[in-house]
Amino acid sequence: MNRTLRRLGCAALAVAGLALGWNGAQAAGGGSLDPSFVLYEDWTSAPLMRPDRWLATDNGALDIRREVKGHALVMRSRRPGGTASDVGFAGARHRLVFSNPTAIDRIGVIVDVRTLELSACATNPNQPSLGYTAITLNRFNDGSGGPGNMTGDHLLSINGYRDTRSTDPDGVLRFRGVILRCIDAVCSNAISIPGGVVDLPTTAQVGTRFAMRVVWDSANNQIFIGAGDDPDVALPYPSQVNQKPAGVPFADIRTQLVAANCTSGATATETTLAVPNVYTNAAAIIP
Amino acid sequence: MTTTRNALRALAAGCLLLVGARPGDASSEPIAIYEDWSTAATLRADRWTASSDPGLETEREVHGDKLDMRFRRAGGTGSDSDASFFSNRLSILNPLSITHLEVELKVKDVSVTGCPANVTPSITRAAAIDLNRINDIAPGTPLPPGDITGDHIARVEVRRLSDSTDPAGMLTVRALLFRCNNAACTSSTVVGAPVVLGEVTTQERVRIRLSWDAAGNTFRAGLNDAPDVLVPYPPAVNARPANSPFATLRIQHLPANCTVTSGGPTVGDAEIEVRSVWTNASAVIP
Repeated sequence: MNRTLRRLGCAALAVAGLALGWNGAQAAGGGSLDPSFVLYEDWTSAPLMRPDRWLATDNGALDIRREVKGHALVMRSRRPGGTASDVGFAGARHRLVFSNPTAIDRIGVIVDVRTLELSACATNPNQPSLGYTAITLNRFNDGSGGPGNMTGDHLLSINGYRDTRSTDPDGVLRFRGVILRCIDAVCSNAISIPGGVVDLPTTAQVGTRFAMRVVWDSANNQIFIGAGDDPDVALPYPSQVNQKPAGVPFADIRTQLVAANCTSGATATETTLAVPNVYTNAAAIIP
Repeated sequence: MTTTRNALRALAAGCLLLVGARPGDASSEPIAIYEDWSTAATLRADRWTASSDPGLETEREVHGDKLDMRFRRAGGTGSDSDASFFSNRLSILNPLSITHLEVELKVKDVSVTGCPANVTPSITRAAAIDLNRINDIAPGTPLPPGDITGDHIARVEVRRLSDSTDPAGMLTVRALLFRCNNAACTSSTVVGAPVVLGEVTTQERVRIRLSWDAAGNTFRAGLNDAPDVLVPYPPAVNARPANSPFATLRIQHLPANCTVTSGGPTVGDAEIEVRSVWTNASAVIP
């Protein structure tokens, strides 16, 4: 009996410690995350990326940097556009991938988009250059896929973005929540489901910390997304699209760049993201 | 006046080529600086392409007059056998123009851990230059794009193994030629035997080079000012051009798989500083 109480007490203490970590991060600025989010990573338990918690990938970037620095993970990528045509774009994706995605049903991050440089192409006016930072959670499939096959996987995502058509003041990011369906086994493309896009009223400034979060409410066939201090917004999906586990489940924090191709001048996109704090549901924590 | 200026330009160009020329080159073509990181603050997309396999810390960034590269990768923890390979690559945009590749670099730091329960040691190639130009599969035999089967990769590598008994910070430089036996080159066969070119240490500035003498059916490899060593191949090996040609500088890790109960994961980590890159002069992009 005493042993059980002691064990419970230790567990409560551990959770309290995690929650305190979250409160500290909140006090440092960046917006709100409710106490159901507990600290998954703050880059203090090791001087380097922990392979038991993370793996990272990058595709398409020319210059790249990914390192733990000052108790934050810094992710930089740069991608120039192609110069052979005035159609389309060149892209780069930089992903920080959780090692235990099937344990995750919510992700909250405090991030700082330290730099975002985008240049447009006068002779490719239909293709803006853009950059975004996103959280994505892939947990369920509509029955079209299977293990290793992403067809029908549904990606639950929030992203903070800016493109070269923006009329906002310099450095202003906007936010959008989306539910996307993968079109093929490798998810070479994903298309938003009907009603699966919501623009949030929140904005943030490049160079300042802000929060982003995604919560999968499986029981009620909806997700909650939010940014900054604004209330979360529910985004429902039809119950029938959750038939089985995702073919390739994943959870990630990513930056993505789209550089317009351009024959009339060189375009380039570049972003540096700092990720000081990452939160998940308690069951996903890796001590 | 114009004539004088043109003459000076010609003289300067001639000096550039002469400065770049070195004895022992495989071809009669002079070599010249392809890159010294002085013309742009970032990697030039007209000269380079790059890619990385999944990993942990990673870097390809120009700082001043050098390129810093880093790659850190952990091995799998699902078993205590075998190892997989992972790279951070910087590749010359037009590999078909390359017959000579030479890089001055410094290994700033290297670490590689092994697994006591895995007979396969971990390998870290802190730097490797690869030249892939030839394939031994009969011309006309279909090969899908990207399928590297039959391609022969010449390599000079600066490596350290987890079971090395060398002093800390010492790496071995080797030259070798190997045939890729499947589409992704996860299986390969060394042609002949690797040749040890020497030992280097971290923080030492070194120059490694590789050139292709197509007419002589030979690659030549060298370290610093030592004479080139020959890496010959049978003429039949050059049946057709490489199906996936490349001229690449990479950091590559082969961390041994290691279960957590055996002490895993193993980890490889390497940081290098790349100074000048030379190629045959005709490959230079102004």
